[in-house]
Amino acid sequence: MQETDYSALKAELYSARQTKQPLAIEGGGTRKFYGREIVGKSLSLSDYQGIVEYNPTELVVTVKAGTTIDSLSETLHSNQQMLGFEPPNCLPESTVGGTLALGLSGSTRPYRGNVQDFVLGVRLLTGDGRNMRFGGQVIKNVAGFDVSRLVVGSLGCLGIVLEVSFKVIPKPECEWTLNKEIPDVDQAILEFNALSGKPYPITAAAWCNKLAHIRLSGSEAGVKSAAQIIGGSINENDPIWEQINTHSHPFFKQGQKIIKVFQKPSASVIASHKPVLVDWGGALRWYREEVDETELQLGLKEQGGWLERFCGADRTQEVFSPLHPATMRIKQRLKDVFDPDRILNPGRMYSEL
Amino acid sequence: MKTEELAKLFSQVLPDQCLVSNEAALRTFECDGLSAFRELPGLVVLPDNIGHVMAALKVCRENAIPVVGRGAGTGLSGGALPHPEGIVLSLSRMNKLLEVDTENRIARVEPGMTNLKISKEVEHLGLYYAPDPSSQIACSIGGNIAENSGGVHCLKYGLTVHNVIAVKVATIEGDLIDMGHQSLDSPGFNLLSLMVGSEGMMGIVVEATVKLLPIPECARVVMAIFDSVQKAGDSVASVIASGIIPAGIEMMDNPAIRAAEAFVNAGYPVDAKAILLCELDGTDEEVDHQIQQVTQLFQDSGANEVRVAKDEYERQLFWSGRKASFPAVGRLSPDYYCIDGTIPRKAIGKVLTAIEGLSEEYGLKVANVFHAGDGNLHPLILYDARNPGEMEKTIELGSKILHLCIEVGGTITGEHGVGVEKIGDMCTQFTDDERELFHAVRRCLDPDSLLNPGKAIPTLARCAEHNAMHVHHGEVPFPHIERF
Repeated sequence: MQETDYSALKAELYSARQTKQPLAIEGGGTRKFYGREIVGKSLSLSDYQGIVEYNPTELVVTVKAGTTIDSLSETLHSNQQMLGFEPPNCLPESTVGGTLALGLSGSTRPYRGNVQDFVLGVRLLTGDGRNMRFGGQVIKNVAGFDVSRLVVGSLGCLGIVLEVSFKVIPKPECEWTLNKEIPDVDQAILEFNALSGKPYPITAAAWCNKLAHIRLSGSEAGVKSAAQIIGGSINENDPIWEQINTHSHPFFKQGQKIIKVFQKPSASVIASHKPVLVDWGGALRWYREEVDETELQLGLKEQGGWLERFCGADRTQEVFSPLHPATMRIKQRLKDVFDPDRILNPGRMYSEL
Repeated sequence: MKTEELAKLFSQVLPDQCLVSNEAALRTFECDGLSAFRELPGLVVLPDNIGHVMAALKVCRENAIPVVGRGAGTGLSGGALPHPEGIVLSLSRMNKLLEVDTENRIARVEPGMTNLKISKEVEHLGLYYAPDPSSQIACSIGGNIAENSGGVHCLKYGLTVHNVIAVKVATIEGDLIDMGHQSLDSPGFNLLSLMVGSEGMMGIVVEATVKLLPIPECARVVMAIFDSVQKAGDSVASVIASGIIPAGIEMMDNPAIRAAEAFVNAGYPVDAKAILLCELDGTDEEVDHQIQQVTQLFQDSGANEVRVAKDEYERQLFWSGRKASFPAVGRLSPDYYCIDGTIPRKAIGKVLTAIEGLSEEYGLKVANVFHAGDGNLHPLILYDARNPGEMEKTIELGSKILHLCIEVGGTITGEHGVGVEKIGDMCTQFTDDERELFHAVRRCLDPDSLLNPGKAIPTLARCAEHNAMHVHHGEVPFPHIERF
């Protein structure tokens, strides 16, 4: 295994520190719309691509952060394996590092897990230039604090992820989606949660346009027998998963402003304007701009849950739900530990971080 | 601070029944599952509720008293070893089930609830809590969170970190903070992952929300018998490569097989060099199909024999030997020491051969029982503490095995934690920078380092001393590992 030379990146970071120049860490540059406004000079990781180590029988792959999700997936697919969290992949340039920074998980999230569930280790360059490794390349590892999972979803505010080791999973032998007509969204959510409590091989459940989509994955025998019990029309290649994953679904094209709402999977929907798209078996609800945000916020306060102004919001303001002051204080201290000069993606997540 | 002083301070804010100060009772808390390390605590505090925990932490903060959190005391790395000047905060009385949310398949529990009790409480709903450390009958969920405990089913169902979705934490600064969220993901930096496995050094978990899974329709087990450890190791890789993720895949070597068979008569072949127990779960159809596949794979990998448990009775019988293997080995020798390293699966053969060599070199027998699916080894070193010097030799052999794990790309602990036991070995696995960062991260939640001080992360000075002891031909171990 050849050690990668990160000295150029380190030099860029060093000079930025000298002048207190904020840096905007960039992977494939496909999600510049996300989070609060971007400040600082672009620091690209696109030169750092490639698989560092991959042993299919270990179910582990170590990859450089600038590698595209597409090329990693291709390598894994050729060994009948895949990333277990089905990373959303809006454009071919989307990278592993970007996915990790945003902490984005696909439709399978409630069933197979989210990004951090599959992260085993990272190599991290902190704001003050320390190149460190946390976690490792084995599935069970409890030595040291879990910094590798801490950085998932931190929007680059804690350091520049250079390399990541993921646990990978075998591609299922068979995958079917069951389509069921369910006009009412609350009814669909109810059905999803009733099914999730049963031992069926469900790996995704979404609802849109009065149609429920329930995906089963596993051995052919297991999928077929579950399909028979659940019912609905069998779709061997339902386009909805690809459409949600790549944001090519009509939902993402109409309307500028999009809000993501995270709730307990079974929570009934809040606003009088109902969500247009429901994913994660009910735990993720996508709203468009016509929704009354005040009403939404009030409902979330009552029922529990939080929201994210996914795109089209005023990015000079906060875009994620506010944090408890004690939690924010801890997160600010963490920011100071990892990035004492506060030059890495400052304010991209919260104005205070 | 002396016991009398501590008792006086705490009795001002807590009822008497929450305090233990007489020496005989304090003895109960002098060690955890790693009994080689013992220390009498200054005082034991047994809170009944969150208010008590917060009150105790306030006294500790104001008087700079060290706090050692403790669940059921079953830990195997000395994580709950008391501090002589401090208190042990034992959460065992806070053991209630607070809420079961069937629709969302989650349970809210107090930290002292035992791991197995959670599953028992929700069994009638067709649900269970997946992580199953072998001490599950006694260990508490709070302790599991502190150690990020694993078990037999980690390969398919994950560790504690994958199965806890939120915790309520009492901080030493006097706040009650929620980490994680019942809505699956939560905004901001991921504090929940940091909290899980932090060995009581970042806060006291006073409530946990855990994920419940549907009980699989069917579970069946296959026993494969091999005449070489290497073949058994390779066959694990071939199962994984075929796309099957067993619910559990466990390996035992000959000394472990013999010990277990003599103890429980599970029908194990005592001449085999290794056996694998491979459990498959899912729907009936799925399991039937996979049983055929793994049987074929084991035969192709050179298994001498493959036995499929024909019914639930035989399944339990196959497992009984594995489950009893620690006490079984305990019968062979007055003492045994359990090691907990993880290695990449491909190194199983190499590492077991090397352990055999070390065993001969040190003149100490080693039996191997381990989670082969995820490469988590549990070599059991047999020794007799009554023989002068044997305990020290055992610890040195254990440390050599752990260094071997690091050398092949693994780790010094897969599921037992660092505690006091492996604190020296942390100097080999992590660089000075990395360990310093751990200390700094810990101070974000515990600025005065009062929570479980001296555990898990060694200081620079301690590592300098440790490495000085292990210099060989003028070189520190594994010079290729970046250090400075």
